[in-house]
Amino acid sequence: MSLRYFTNFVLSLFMIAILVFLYTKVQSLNIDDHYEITDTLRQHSSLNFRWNEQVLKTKLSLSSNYDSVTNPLVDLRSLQNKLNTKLSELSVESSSLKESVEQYNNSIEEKNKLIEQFKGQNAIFDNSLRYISTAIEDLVSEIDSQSSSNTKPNPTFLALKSASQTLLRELLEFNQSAQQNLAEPITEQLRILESQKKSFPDTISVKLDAVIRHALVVVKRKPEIDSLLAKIVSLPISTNIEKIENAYTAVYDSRVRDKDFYFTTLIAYAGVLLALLAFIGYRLRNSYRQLNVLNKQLTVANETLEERVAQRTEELSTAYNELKQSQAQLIQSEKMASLGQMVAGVAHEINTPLAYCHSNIDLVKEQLPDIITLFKEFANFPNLLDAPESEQQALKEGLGTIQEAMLAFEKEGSFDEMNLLLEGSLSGLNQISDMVKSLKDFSRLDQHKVENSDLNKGLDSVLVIANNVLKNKVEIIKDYGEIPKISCSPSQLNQVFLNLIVNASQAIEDTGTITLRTYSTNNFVNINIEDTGKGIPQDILPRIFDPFFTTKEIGKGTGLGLSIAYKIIQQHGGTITVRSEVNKGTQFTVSLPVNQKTDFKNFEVAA
Amino acid sequence: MDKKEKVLCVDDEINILISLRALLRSKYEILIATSGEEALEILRKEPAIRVLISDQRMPKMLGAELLREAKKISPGTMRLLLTGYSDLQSIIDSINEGEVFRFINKPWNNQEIRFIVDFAVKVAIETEQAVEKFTNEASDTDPIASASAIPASLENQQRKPPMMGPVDAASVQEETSGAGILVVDDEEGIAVTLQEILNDSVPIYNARTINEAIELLSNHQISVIISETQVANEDATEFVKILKQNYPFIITIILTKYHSADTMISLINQGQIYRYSYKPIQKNQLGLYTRSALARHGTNLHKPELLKRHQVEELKEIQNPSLVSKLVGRLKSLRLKMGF
Amino acid sequence: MKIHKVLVTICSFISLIAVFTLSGSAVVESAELNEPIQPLKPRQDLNLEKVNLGKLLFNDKRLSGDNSISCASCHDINKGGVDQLPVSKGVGDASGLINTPTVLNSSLNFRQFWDGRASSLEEQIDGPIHMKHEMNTDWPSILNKLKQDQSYVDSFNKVYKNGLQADNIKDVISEYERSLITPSRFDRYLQGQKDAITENEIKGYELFKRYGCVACHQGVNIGGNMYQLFGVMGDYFKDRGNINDSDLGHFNVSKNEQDRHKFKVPSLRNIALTAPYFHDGSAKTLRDAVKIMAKYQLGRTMPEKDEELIIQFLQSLSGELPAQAKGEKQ
Repeated sequence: MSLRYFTNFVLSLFMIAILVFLYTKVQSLNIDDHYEITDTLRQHSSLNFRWNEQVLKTKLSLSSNYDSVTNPLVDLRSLQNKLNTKLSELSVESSSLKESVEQYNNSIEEKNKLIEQFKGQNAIFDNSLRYISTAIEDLVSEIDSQSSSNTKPNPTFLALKSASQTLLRELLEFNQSAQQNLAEPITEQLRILESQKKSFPDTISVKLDAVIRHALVVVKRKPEIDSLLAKIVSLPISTNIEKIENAYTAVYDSRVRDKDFYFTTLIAYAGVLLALLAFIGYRLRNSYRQLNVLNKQLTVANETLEERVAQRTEELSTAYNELKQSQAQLIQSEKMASLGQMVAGVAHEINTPLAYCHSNIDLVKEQLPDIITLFKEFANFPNLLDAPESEQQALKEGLGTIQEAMLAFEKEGSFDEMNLLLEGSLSGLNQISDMVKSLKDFSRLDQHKVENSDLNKGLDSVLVIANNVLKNKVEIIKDYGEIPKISCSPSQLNQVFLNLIVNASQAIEDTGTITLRTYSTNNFVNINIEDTGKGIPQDILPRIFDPFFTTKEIGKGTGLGLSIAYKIIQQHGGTITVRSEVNKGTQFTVSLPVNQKTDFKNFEVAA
Repeated sequence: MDKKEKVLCVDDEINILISLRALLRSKYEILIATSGEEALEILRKEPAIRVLISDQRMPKMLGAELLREAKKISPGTMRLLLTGYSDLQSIIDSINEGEVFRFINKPWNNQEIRFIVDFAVKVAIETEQAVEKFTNEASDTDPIASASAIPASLENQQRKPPMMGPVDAASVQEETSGAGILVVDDEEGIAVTLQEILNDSVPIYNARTINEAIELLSNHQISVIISETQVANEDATEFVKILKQNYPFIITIILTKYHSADTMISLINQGQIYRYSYKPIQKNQLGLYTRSALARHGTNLHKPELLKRHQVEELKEIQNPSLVSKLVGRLKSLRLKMGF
Repeated sequence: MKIHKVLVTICSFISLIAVFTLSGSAVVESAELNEPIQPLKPRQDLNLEKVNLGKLLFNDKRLSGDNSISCASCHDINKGGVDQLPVSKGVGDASGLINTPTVLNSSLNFRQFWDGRASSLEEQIDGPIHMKHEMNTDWPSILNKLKQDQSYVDSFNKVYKNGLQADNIKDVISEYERSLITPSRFDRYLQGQKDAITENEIKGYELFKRYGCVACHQGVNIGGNMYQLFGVMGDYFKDRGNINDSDLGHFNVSKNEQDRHKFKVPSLRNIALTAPYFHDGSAKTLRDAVKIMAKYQLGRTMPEKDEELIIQFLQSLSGELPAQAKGEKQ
């Protein structure tokens, strides 16, 4: 049971874990983050654009200071930070994202460097460009003032002047155009002027030096600045940002897909769980309903339990009574059967003496009138003696008659016969009275009383009753020992002995002997009933005491005799055992305790 | 002085023999034996023993067995059996195998015994010659006699129905000369079975009530009656007894599911039934009894004196007088018809 | 995404063309915005609690290894945010390696230190803290000391969830430094108060612009928003000699040859108060500084008259400390 609970618990935890997992996966995609990121990227884009704008403005002198070119970096730095932080987690997932961010950062660095360089270069260039016209003006005016002090116009001065003016024009042209090829001649020109510098007076050469230097700056720096600008503009910032966007979008999309997937899975899973819950709920409800029903039943049952118990008890006791009754009936019928047997035997035993007694006495009675006549004649005789001689003849005749009659009687042996008959009758009557006495002894009408009785006498009374079964067929050998009287129910024990003796006799097929042996051991009295009958096979032997077990044909035996015998002996606190050998004989041994504390109340059943 | 007729008394109880001898010796020469074996010895040695009185329960040889053997050795001897012990099987055996003449209950009435013995002796004397002839003839044709050669040593064994060869139907018919069998029973089976057995060689009539039986009797020649003791809630034994009394030729077989020793005894004493069997009866057994009954009937027709040996006592009480008078009337007319 | 790129390129081109064509018209957005120098606006969004805490720590000598110096020791706000020494003295009387820049308005610099190695005020604090020749300490030591001070603990706990931490110390100090904005008369002039500065100072400003000083010293902090080569028109270091690491400037950070001798352009605000000048503290006076600048940066010779006016202008750049910072003396 607890294992099942445990696995259930673990299973539910697992399912909840899956749910939580799916949910977190779904939630992990923060849409705000996404908006922030896209926003940030846009800001990057626009900031870079504005930065470029500022740079260009600065170049074109539309912006008077570099704050506008420097400040964007500060903002950009914070934006970069923001972007990096926001994308750091995602960069782990997508190498392309990481790369593109790196590239972008690198581009920014590059841009920054370039812009720094630009600032520096531009400042210098700007100054020189601004100053060059003044410087050239100064040079020209110096040349002019020098020329004015001399009367003769110096051709070199003039040449220088014109060269300077040309230079200015060219420089301006150069500045205006993006063409590179204009630088060459200017540079060449400046070299020439440089070489010529020493040939001029100090005032002029100083100014010329300034012009040359500044012109060089212009010529040299401009392309540099232009290239810087070109580089700045051509920095693949937007590409980088695009890449970032793409990579991020890719990641984001995949995340969205994942999220969608997880979401769908979550929904499905939640659906399944719900269904499961619903199912469980349904089942629970059902089982609760069942429980309720059972509960109600239980309550009802509880309430009616007493009733039903009483009812059942009644039924049970009725059944029990019926059972007892039928048992009693069965026992009774067995008793009746055995009794019947016994009675039949007894009836025959009584019948025969009865017959001849009756006959004899009747016969004797028949003779009586003749004897009475004779007696009367004889009684009359003295009278005849007194009669006159004339009647002597009658006297003689009378005497003669008497003599004849008496002789006839004698001859026929009537007196002997009568004696014999009467004697026979008496003996017959004695037999009958013996039988009745034995019956009385056997039955012991006061059945419930327990008394000290001599089992030897009991056996004898049984033998009398069983006589007709036994006579002429079975030889009885009595081997009675000195046994004390024992406290018992003699009628019941006699029933047992009768049963055993009758069984023994029935086991003997032709002729045989039954030996009755009694002896005492310790506190026990033992009775052996041994026959030389056909014996009991070993496989049947354990069953002979079973109720209704019989080897006789149907109707010839109830099969209860030995089981009742067994019960009676048991109730006496004794034992009944059997030994048998097929075709040799059987020996039953009944052992009864001399003193016993058996509860004789139960004897009703066997009695 | 005339030589006294011989009466043989057999009982294992000597006192009975003493009583019987004392009772009968004035008239008869009483021979006594205490066992069946002894009795048979005497029967073999002594000629013309008119009456045999035997006890039923004797060790070694039961009375019924003794009667059976006595019948063989000295068929002329009238057989009487003392009964004190209602062993139904012994009684039936006495009827079927012993062909007992009378049952005498113990204790007996001295006058009654004297009367029966006198009567039996008289009959024995009268039928002495007829019996001799019958014996000579019957041993061939009486299937029971020829089959009853069961060794005496077999004691207390259940008697199996004797195995019979097929009886010649034609010879049977010869003897019976067309008379039929009346089955008196409210159950059908017997008549049907009988028909199967006899193959319509003999007419079989089935009566479900006694009235029906009487009707059939008056209209047909009946040689054998096979009857139940209780038919349609009426006692059929009285009918059987009256029938035998008035129409001694009828051979009666009782097939009944009601067992009573007293009924059996009375059916012998007052009905001289031929055979008695429990229901259900084996088909073979029924056939055997029927054929034998028919044969006996034939023999009786042949030798009417033998009928004397089966005279019955008169009924002391009549339960159903109207029936009886009706029957008697019918039988009278039948007898006139038959020329008896 | 390709479309985006194309669009951006097209826009750039269009704007370029537009700007070119409009170059002449000098589109003015506002009078203010057109000036290369922008006026100072004090920050309004400062956390005063942090500022006060920062002030305490800025002046707290426990921030040095031997508790002998504080930030204020070198960056004295009453001395223009510097100590007016060529190089400062650190713990154990150690000499600094480079001239101390001013703390005033330092929040407006695009980077900190002469070589621009720190990108923020917070980052800058780590420098002096850990430098052996400056404060010679570390944060754990500082925290140990400061955590003994229950008032600090409580104060920090009030402001920060995690209380007294290095980052939080840096945060409050930076906040304090942000508060050190010094609007000057010149700022008021820029904002429209035409009489905030003298005529000479105005003239000086014009010259400042015409000479091209403003090319680098521009923006709201009058500098501090770009790197520039020290010695554009002449090799300053070659002429000066004794080149040391400090002279390498931004090169120390970028390792780029192009950045050799490039320094963060310092702010000229309160310049009158922060002598000596340049990273090596070699210019003792403003005049010296102006002369060197004109020669090496502008490649110009400046008449004394112009120098004078420019100097006067420069002096007008000295501002006023904010109210809470004033009157604090160490």
